[in-house]
Amino acid sequence: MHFPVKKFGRKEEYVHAMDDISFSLYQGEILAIVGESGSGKTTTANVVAKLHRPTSGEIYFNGQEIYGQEVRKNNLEYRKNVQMIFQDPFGALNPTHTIRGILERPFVIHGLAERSELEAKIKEVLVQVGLEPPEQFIDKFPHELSGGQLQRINIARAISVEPVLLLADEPTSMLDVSIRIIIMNMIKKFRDRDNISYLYITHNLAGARYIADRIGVMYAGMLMELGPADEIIQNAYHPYTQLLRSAAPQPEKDFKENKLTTQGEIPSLVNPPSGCRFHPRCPKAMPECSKKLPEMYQINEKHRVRCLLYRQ
Amino acid sequence: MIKDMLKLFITNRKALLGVIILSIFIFIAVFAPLIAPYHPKQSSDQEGKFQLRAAPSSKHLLGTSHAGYDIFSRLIYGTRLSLMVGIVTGVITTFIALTLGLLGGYYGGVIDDIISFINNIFLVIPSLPLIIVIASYITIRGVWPIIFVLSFTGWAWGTRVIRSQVLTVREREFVKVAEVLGEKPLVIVFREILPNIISLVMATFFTSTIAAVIGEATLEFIGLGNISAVTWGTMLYWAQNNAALLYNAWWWFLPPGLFIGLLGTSFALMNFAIDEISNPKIRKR
Amino acid sequence: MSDKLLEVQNLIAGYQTKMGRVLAVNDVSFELKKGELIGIAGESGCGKSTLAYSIMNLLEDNGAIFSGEINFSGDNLVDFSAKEIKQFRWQKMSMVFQSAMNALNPVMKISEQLIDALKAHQKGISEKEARKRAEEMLELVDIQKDRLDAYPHQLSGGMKQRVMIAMAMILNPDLVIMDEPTTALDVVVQRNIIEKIEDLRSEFNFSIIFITHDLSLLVEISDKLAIMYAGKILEIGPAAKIYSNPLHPYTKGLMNSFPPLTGEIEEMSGIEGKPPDLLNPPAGCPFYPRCEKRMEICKTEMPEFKELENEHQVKCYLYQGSDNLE
Repeated sequence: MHFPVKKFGRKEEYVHAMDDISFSLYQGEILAIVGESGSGKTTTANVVAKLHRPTSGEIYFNGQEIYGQEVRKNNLEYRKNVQMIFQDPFGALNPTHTIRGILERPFVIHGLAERSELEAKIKEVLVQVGLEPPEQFIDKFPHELSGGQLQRINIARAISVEPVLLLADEPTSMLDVSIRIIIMNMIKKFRDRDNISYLYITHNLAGARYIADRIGVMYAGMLMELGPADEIIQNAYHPYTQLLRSAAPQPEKDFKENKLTTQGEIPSLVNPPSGCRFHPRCPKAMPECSKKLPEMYQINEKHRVRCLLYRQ
Repeated sequence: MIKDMLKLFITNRKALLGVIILSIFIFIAVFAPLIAPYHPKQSSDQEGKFQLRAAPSSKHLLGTSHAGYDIFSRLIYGTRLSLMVGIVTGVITTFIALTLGLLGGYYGGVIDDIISFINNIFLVIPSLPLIIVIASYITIRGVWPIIFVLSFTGWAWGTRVIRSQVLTVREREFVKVAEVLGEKPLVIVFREILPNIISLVMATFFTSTIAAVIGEATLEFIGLGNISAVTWGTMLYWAQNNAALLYNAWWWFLPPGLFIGLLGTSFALMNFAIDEISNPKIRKR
Repeated sequence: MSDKLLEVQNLIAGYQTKMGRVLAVNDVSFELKKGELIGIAGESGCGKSTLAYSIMNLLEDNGAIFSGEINFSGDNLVDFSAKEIKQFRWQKMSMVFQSAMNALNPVMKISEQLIDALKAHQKGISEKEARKRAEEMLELVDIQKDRLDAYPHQLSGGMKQRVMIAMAMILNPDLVIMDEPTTALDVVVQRNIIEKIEDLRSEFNFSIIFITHDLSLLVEISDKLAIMYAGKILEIGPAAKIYSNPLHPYTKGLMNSFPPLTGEIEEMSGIEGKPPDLLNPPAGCPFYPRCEKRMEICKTEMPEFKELENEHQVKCYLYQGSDNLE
């Protein structure tokens, strides 16, 4: 998938924010997409949320192409099935509406409740996300609540339409540390209860391991490695995943023990490096890495990696 | 939110002063027949014809004009038209600016390109000459042509400001959330975006009203309006035509000028207040 | 004189607002040795940045130090006049800001900004010498000489942050305060910078106050760790000790908020609730409403530090009576 970007002179160039990403997501599964800023992980979520149209590529949801005719006709149905939680809990809530005004919309849009039932429904979801007693919150404005409480409201809004897939774009990174785990646990709770699938976007490796079943590692718009969460971290194959792993803080070790394997930063996505996008920084780069774009090679049944080292 | 705004409006000193001045003008306009001692086109009473070009006296608080009309009465009655033209033009321009700004800002694409193109032309053409040119081509003399001319030339600035604000609000996450929730575009525009630009819309209304009050006075003053109408602008026109300045007849040209200034000030004060209210950084001080 | 560099005693600082005094730093005391790195951990609004700004005497107009002492190698900074502190600042202690990327002037070359900082404090230094020193400093933070005449926008986020570190160290200060210096950066870049800081510290032996909310990072790099909550230090001690044996319920809660990279994945709990309003701080322990082990006395009284084991101190009634660890 490519995204057109308009530059001066109106000559179209492409930002390769996402390139050749393919993965599937199963029902009731939490797939974490890990990457640094500029890796294209947020774009991935936006494309699935139908906020951005990809230039090419297909995304199937329950067997239907989401940018195809069928889904366009039943847009509302897709919207009901796929919801999103954003990074900034305050920014995702309209400051001019009360919590009641915000939380009644999903029910109204999708015709899930009668006017007379609205209040009861809103209170019910407030209780589900742990905002008790609901009477205390329902008539507040967003600016009267804390970040953690606001993110619960956002989750409440997303789950109130009973979605099948929830896209979570760094839902905890702007929250206080002591609240993060609570929000993650809540996300897990709804997975266990309603069998919701999650695409969980994050930059935090440890958090991804905590919450996800599988982890996909993105770099410069490409998926580099995909596999079971714990395996990706304990047994990383791709040199980039290894780099991420060594950069994550590890309180149980002394600082001097783990040194970075390489330096440098994510390349520009308008003109990405040829061949493997990681080769300019890769400590194990081989001459052919700059020429040949590696495919995803199968390591085992569930684990794939995009690196020539593991070519069979 | 709107209740809060009203409350802030009353507790803010500048806004309160602006509201008070405006209320006085509205009061004057509504009760003009009760306040003014004479009809504006009355040049005689039971005691006979009024003296022409009289200086202020107890009978004529601000003297009389060259035709023997009571200037004070004309000033009072003039409030009606000046205020009406200002507010009606303000409403029309704000409405145009809001519609075009929301359309262009939210939908983008070709619609936005066209709106921006016309918008830029209107921004580049100096407005006063344009007003004069258009007004001199209109043969009907009266209030409505003036309102038309002022609205036609006055919408561009507001559109530009509202459009750019809509563009930023449109990128806010709660708008994306609404899209993801399946909200219809019209609902997004009116329910999600509009409430967030209300203060800007009010500011646009106030500034365009000031511009209209001054524009109306200008047109009338240079004789492009209806010179037989009773407005502050025509008062200045007649004062100028009859060399009031030369005769030092301050009671003739000063009061209408002062009233124009005061009405403008009242809107400007409310506008300042909006700035303070919608920008918490200024509010604190 | 021992090797003690900085001693903060009973510092109370905060802001005067329309609604009253906000005591963002409330009775904070700690010591810092030469060459030592103290980590100050806390969540947003706990007063950790105010503490940094108080030590630097850079509080905003409505901020002030209300009482307490800041002894810096023998001088009490609180008594210094504005002029004295200006001389002192940057020369003896400097700071790397949270928004360091915005702290650089966008229309001035890196070289000019570095040289200006030098000239402001070392009267009579020649242009040539200053430039040479600037080059050396950039080299120290791994930025090539040819980047000296670059404008800030030509550098990446990580490079700008390294320039800021070079700027903070250009006068060879004894103390550098770092307020969330890597929070806005990506993990790999963050790691890079922290490795650089560690190298520089072992080479030049200056002390660091490192402020962040990322406890797992702090545990790894700090010699000494202070846990701050609602303007107070609740627990302080050697980082390894606090990690292996956290005492205060808040510290335990924080430790239970960072999932580990290795070992079993266990259900963690975080801390429910939110920090108190510092305009109306609670009478007793500020953590009382969120504490799982609260007792009646905690509601109204705040205990003093109790030292358990060498240098590991905690302010909590759970440990007031006993002399040994639970």
